[in-house]
Amino acid sequence: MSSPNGKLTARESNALDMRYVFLALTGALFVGIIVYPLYHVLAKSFVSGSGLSLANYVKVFSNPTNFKALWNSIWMSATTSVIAMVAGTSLALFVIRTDIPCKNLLRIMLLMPYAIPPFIGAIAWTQLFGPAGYISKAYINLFGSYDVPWNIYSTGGIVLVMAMYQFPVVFITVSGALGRLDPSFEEASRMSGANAFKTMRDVTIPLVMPSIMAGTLLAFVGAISNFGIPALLGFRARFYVLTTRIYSALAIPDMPLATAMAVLLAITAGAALFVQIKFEKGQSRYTVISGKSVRPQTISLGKWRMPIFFMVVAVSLFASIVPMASMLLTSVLKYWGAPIKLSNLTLKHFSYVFNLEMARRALKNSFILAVLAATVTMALGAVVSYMSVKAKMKAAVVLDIVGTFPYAVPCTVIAIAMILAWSKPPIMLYGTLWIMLAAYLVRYMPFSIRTTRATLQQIHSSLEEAARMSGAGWLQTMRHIVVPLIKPGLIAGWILVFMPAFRELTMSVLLWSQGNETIGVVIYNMQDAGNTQIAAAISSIVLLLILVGNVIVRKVSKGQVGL
Amino acid sequence: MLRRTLMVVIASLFLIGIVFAASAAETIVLYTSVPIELATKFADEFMKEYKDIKLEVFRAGSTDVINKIWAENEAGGIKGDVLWLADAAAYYTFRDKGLLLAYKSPEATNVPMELKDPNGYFTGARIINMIIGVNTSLIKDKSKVKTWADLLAYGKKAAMANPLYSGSNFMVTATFVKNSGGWLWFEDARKKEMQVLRGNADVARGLAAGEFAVAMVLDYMVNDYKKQGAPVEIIWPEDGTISIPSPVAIISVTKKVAASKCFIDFVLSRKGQELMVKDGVLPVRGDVAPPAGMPTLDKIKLMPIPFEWAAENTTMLRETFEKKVMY
Amino acid sequence: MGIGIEVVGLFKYFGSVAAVNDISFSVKEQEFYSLLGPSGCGKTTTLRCIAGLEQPSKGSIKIGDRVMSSASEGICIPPEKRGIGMVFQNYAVWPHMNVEQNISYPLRITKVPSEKVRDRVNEVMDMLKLTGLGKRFPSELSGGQQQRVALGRALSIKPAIMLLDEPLSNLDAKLREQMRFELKDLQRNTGIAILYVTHDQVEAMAMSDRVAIMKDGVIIQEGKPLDIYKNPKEKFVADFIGTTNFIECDVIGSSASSTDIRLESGSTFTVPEATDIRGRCTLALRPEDIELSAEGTDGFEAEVEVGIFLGNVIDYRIKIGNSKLRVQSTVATMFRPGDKVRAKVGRVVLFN
Repeated sequence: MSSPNGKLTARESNALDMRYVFLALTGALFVGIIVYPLYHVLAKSFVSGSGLSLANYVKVFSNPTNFKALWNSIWMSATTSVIAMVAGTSLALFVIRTDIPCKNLLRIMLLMPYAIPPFIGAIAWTQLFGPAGYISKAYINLFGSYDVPWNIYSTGGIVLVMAMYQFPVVFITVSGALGRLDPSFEEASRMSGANAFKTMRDVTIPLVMPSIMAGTLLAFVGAISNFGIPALLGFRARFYVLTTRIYSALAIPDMPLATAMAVLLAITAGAALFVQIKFEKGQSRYTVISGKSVRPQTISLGKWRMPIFFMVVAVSLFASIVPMASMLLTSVLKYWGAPIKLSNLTLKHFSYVFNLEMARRALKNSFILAVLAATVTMALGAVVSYMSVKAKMKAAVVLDIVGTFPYAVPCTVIAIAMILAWSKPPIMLYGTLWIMLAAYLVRYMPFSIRTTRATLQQIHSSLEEAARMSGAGWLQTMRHIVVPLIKPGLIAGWILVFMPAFRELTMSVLLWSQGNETIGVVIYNMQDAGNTQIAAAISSIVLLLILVGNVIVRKVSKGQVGL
Repeated sequence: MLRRTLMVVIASLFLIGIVFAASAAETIVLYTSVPIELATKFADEFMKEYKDIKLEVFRAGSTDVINKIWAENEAGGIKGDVLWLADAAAYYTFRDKGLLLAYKSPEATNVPMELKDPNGYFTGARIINMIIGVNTSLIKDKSKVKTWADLLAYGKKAAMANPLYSGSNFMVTATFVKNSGGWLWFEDARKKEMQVLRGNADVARGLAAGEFAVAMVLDYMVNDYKKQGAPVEIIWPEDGTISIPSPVAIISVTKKVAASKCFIDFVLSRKGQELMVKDGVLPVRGDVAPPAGMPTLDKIKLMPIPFEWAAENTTMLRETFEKKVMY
Repeated sequence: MGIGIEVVGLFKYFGSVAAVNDISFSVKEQEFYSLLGPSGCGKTTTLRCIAGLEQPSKGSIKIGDRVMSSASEGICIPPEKRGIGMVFQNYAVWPHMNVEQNISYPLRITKVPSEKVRDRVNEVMDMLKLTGLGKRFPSELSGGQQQRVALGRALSIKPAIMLLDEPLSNLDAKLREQMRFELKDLQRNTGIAILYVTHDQVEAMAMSDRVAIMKDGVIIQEGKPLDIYKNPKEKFVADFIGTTNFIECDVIGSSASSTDIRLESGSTFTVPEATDIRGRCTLALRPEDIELSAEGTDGFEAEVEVGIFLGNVIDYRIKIGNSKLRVQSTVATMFRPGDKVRAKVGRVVLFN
């Protein structure tokens, strides 16, 4: 690199070119992987027949079924998020702020539904409360009735099951804010003469209100983007939402209509996320967050202590243990609906699954996809985060935003983008495993950028500079200092991408093809075709893997990440 | 970390390599709507018989398979080699569009004329009967359920599969509409909130579990549950069973004609038909005995199926059903 | 050995803001040179430019006779090729390496044979009183020990130049005082040139051979500590170095060795300094240069507001007109609040 006179020029010498090479490569990948496909969705939605038009949107709004699906999506998600808000906030208050026993265990149990894939949860809930479900049967036996007074295949059923999988989001955000709330605010209120209840009402809740709203909006986005629950419960109830309508439109296939609905879905979710970010900023503006999670003072519930404790226990059991137990029970029953007795138990469904080539293939496919998705997103995310957080390069900040943007794009929309972008020359990925990889990369890039950014921010730049001053070049500094230091964060982040990618459904169900099934697709198709028990057996295997994965994450991150 | 990640990546690449290496034997792909358990069992037996052929099964509802075929045809080539659906009408359309390869299997001589295409474009491979299934623990007196109309009395506790998804139910829909000259039965079903599930396996499962008291469902599925001890019975409707000859065919663009023919031969062979009988399915060959407790076709009152009419009116039938029942 | 630093016409812009605005100075071989100034004055940026961690916008930096950075010639040697030792404010001791690994890193990275690495590490650890701690990780060390590890790491390659960026600011007061002596000893024993950055004037005064006072990206005054203390060129310097009282006043007459002053309160007195200034000016008075007595005619009359006994001195606040002054008196008698006293003025500096 030296010029003849032994001097180094500025560009060559500062190893800046090396970073620019990395950055340029990542930038090109980001444009190819993220920007190009997403642009296609938007463009396609405005094309009909020969030219640009709003015809596809007119079709959405003029066809009452499509319009109803949009409306259904919005009100179903709104109702869900209100229930999630009430449940999540009160549970957070009880678990973080009061003197009920076993708080740590309860907290973990309440977070568990977060780890259970919603579509597997939906299957479990039909096994419990469906017309022939365990609880329904028990009710019928108990009261000798012909039918049960509830129906899980209904809008109410969808909303309740959805709320079950969205309340942990509110719980996490609110309990986080509560944990960091300076206790002196509440103490001041008590000293001013307010009792525990009034303090909660007038001081605590208003102070964490931004977090409550932020959590609720996240729940809204989660609900409106979900496919598994409305698909498994909604078709029978003739209740269609945008995600299931898009699925049907793609089966016809009516691509322009699908893209128009996809854009509407993305706009709704994006708007909700935009407001959510405002609220999040609002919370940090209240300088009540002291950064310490020391909580010496809790509210004494007195005679309400045990009743509330049992209520929280009941909710957490129903949210976590009961669905998993029902899944396991179903997977070992001879046939679905068989009376529960020893002679009706069998492992034949497991042995069937292990011998089923499709299941083995799906397991392998999901594993390959999840490994590659986690590895590639973490590598690219680390580069972008490093360049924007540490090297403070302006171009990297732009990439940071581009990489985080898909967070606001529902999975269904990403899948459509993939079909549009990768099913024609020059790059034909449709019909192969790799189109799902492309989708996973878009979907999980924000996860990776967020975790790598957080990890890198904890590492003071002087640690790197010290290495440079010790004589290490940029690459050596990366290898000896930066990478070893962020390793635990990278591993935890890797697993945090691996786990949801491993059991992904919403995108895979639109992108899979013969021979390229994923675990999520196999479970969904099995359940959909009436092979409940095979679905249950695979689900049980997946749940086991998720639990093990979680334990590993906790170990690696020393309790920082995971449940 | 880097090294470990690298190792994982290399391991994955190896796995991918193994997949490709394993596919060195000639592979044919079966597009089918036959329930997955049956289809895989069948594939295993086939591969035992023909050791140098690998059979991959793509299984979905008839409609999904049909959509896939049209889409792939548009995109420059169907990826499947052999086809086995319940929607017999679709074969007429496929034949007319030139998507099927004519093949008169030597085994087909044992299949009655009315179950196969005269030119050999497709051959009936199993007979599946749409019947009324009852759950005997919910309906003590079976004699109450005699005709298709009796199903409607059970409201939410009655079920059928969705013809927009299931091929056999599409045939039922076409037959009902053609024979009765209208949609009355379906309109009534919608009014009384009869449950419309996706596939017949889903319906059978619900019937066995007691989710439904009665159902329009396929005979062999009820038989299967009955064998496992579920409280279910078949009722042969007095106004007629819809008996569908679920045909097999070879896709015209296949590059593996010989292997595909082997599959057709195997399905129609005595051994293949006996395999199906074991799972409670009626055989197409006269020289294979029907499953125990199942009547032969000549003992059942049948409803005539308008195959060609159904093929011509597919879109109208689907759209009307969707409008009248699904919303 | 025997290498210094020469900085000429250094500029560093962040956006449109000039953090360093035309700075030139040189550190001679074996010299202990400090950049002293309040936070945001550009001293750390200057240091980082010399280290190669920032690229200067203009100007040149030479170490020995090697040009490290020259904007006009487009030269900027990367930090790892400059052969400089550096100690960071937060030590930057790598948490994933133990003491030995931290100290030996610069040697290992330059591929020094392993026996030599071991010898040198032991030597450095002995010198810094770290013997026996080699296998410990930074999290198991006290702040002072981490500080030594950081020093050891910077020293291990025997650099001719060391840069220290507020290395003592994170230590407690006692340790800080002790480390000052140790750093000074170290520099004397190793004979390397040290460029030291601090905002703590006591630290700079105690250790430096020369000090440069910085403000808003420029050097305001450079010189030996005592010279600067005695003859601050600007009010800012007087204020920044030590404690100083400032009084608004008028010059009413002067001679070759003294000046007559009138305070706003009307009282007049003579100070033993010559000046060219006429009219309005600011009088800078060190607290220890004012002597209080119960009677006499020297200086001016004032009233004691409060006095605090500090052991070796008494710290008074006295009132004269509307102004309040701090006085450090060694006189044994203690005045009470409200006492009228005469304040005799020793050395003063007058500013426009």
